[in-house]
Amino acid sequence: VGDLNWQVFAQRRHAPLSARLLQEAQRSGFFEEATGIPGGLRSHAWIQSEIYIPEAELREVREAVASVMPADNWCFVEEFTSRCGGALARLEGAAEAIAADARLSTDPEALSERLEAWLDSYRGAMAFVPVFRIIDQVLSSYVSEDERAEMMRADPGRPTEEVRERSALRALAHRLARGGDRDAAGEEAAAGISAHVERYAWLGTRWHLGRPFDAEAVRRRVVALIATAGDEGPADPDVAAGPAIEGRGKAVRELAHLRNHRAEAVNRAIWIAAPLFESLGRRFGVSTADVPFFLPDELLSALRGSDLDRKLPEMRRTAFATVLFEDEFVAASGRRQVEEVRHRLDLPEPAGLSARDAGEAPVGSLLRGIVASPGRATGRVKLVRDGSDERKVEDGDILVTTMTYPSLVGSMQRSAAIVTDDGGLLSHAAVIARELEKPCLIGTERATEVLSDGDLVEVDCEAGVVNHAGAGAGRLERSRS
Amino acid sequence: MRQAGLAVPDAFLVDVAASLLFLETAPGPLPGGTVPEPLAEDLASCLDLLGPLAVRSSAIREDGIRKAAAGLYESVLDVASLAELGTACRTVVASQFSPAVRSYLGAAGELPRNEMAVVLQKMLRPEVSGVIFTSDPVRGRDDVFVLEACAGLGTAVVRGEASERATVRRDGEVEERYAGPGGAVLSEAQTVALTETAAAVESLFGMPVDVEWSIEGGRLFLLQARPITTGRWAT
Repeated sequence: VGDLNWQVFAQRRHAPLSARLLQEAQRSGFFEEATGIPGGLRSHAWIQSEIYIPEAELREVREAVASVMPADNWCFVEEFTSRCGGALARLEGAAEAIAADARLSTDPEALSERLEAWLDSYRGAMAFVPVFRIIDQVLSSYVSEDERAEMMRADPGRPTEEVRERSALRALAHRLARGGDRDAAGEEAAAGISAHVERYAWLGTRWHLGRPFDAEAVRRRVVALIATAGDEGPADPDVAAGPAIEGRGKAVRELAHLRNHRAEAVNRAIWIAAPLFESLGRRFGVSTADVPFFLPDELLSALRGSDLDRKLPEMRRTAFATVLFEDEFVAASGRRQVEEVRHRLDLPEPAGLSARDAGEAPVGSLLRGIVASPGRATGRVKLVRDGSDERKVEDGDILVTTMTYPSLVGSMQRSAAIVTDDGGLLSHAAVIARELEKPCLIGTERATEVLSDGDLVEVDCEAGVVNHAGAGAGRLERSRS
Repeated sequence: MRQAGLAVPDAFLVDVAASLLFLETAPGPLPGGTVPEPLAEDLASCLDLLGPLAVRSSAIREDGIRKAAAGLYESVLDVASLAELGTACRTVVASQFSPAVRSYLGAAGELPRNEMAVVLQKMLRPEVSGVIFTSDPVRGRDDVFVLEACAGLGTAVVRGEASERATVRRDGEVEERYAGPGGAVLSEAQTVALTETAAAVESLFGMPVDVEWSIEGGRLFLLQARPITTGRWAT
């Protein structure tokens, strides 16, 4: 397999059909033609919800983006947003053609034709998905984050549908609360909820994985909002928008808007195209919800008469991976196959967030904890129990303490990594560790018992463990994506 | 946030110019908390109007995009008399020159000068408090919220002693919930309401946010909101 140095690029779940189409769209050739950015990917691994890309390839894409988007030229952003808008419009067109096609349930030819058109336009829309994040990264090297935040504050731009939906729901809750209907059980509530479902049901469609909003779910949210709402009603999101801005501020704005809008447009198209999935489900004798758990080729060849393995959706719901490697696609279904792929590609285990994972150290490790800040470092342990120990920590040491508190910030700055017994992910100390880009492992429960001053350890905040460090250790090693 | 219909505790602000008076009227080592003459009357009426106060910092360098200065400045809770209020304001204003702050800002190459305003917030007696992030700050996932909660005031959460942690999807479904020995403190309805409100704050800011909140008498109050300073893929 070679040493590709896979990096976690993002975490996102899609149904297998959607994940594979996204992956296909990243290949050189297709990607370039769709986005106007030279190059594309030769390797891409999507294991459960983690997306991995080899470091070198990611760098190439970043350089390609920088080459078409120099700091003084914002035309590319305009071209890119218009290409992306076009792809989304084509997807919507395909969805609407499906909704309007009366032959779907009876005519296998028509079904094939619509499916192919859907897959093509979906792939086209998916070419734009990951590159948004890269464009954003390149952009942040031109425009400081503070400057960007200022632009966003000056002109928050058009609200997304999600924002409108939440605002509409809060307005409904506010109306009902004022009318004394705190259980949302009255007639006004029923009418409001049903209008809301009609307008926004599609927002629940999340890459085929969510359920469209139904009246029950909406009522539950309204009741929760009534119970905890303030006295004033929500502002209209459209009114909240400030004055329009021009120039590069506008480019930043448009890009941010499109980034949100894109996901919504795709999910809405999936909702409109529901008849396609219903017809395919009926034809193959599987449920509509199972259809997106097949891959594009499986669906197309099944329509041409080959067998469809009906056990696949269930296996893929448990675990699924799709990998592009040296221009070949590989799919893994079920836990055993997925673990094998992870092993063969030499991908790191995802770090645990859950405190259930903490405490019990895996074989070969001293401690397990919760990753509050990623990275990896090796150094000498320095136990810090109170303020008087603070001076102990020297450059490159591993700061070990019951709980980090803000006054330890000096020690944190000098340390190579931080390990604590307790600690919250959202605590002030964790926020600072992330800002300092220091690996930080919290909630180990007994770091201050297990470790002693001077121990040479490796803090691995990719795997969420502390290990004995071998000979020759002591130098600082950091790996961050 | 209040203009957007979100519930925020009633508060007054001692602005940067006024807060400078706390440093001028009582020079020398801490604590020395007399109330500056020009502010005495206004501060007394804050106490009359709001009752016991939470005295919090609002520094220009605090809660920035990259640097939150999280928890580095002092807050003083439950301030009930004018004398206490004077001491509390001075403690808060002076905390911008503490070794921890100097060390934190020093690393960022900034020189300290007075840039601190003081917020006098009505003191809540919450059943539950905590922090919610509208994206996972560790794994960089923007499709989930991460929240931590504890019974009573939120000081335990920001110190790192949360009794409950949950990862909640944007549609309100709880993906993962962990309750410590103290047990779960948030009901499902409260979790949903909290994510709805946090999403409203996020759209107000136009970027992922970190929100401190409290629930008092069943009502959700927002105590503080700031942009999330880090994301695994932020740079």
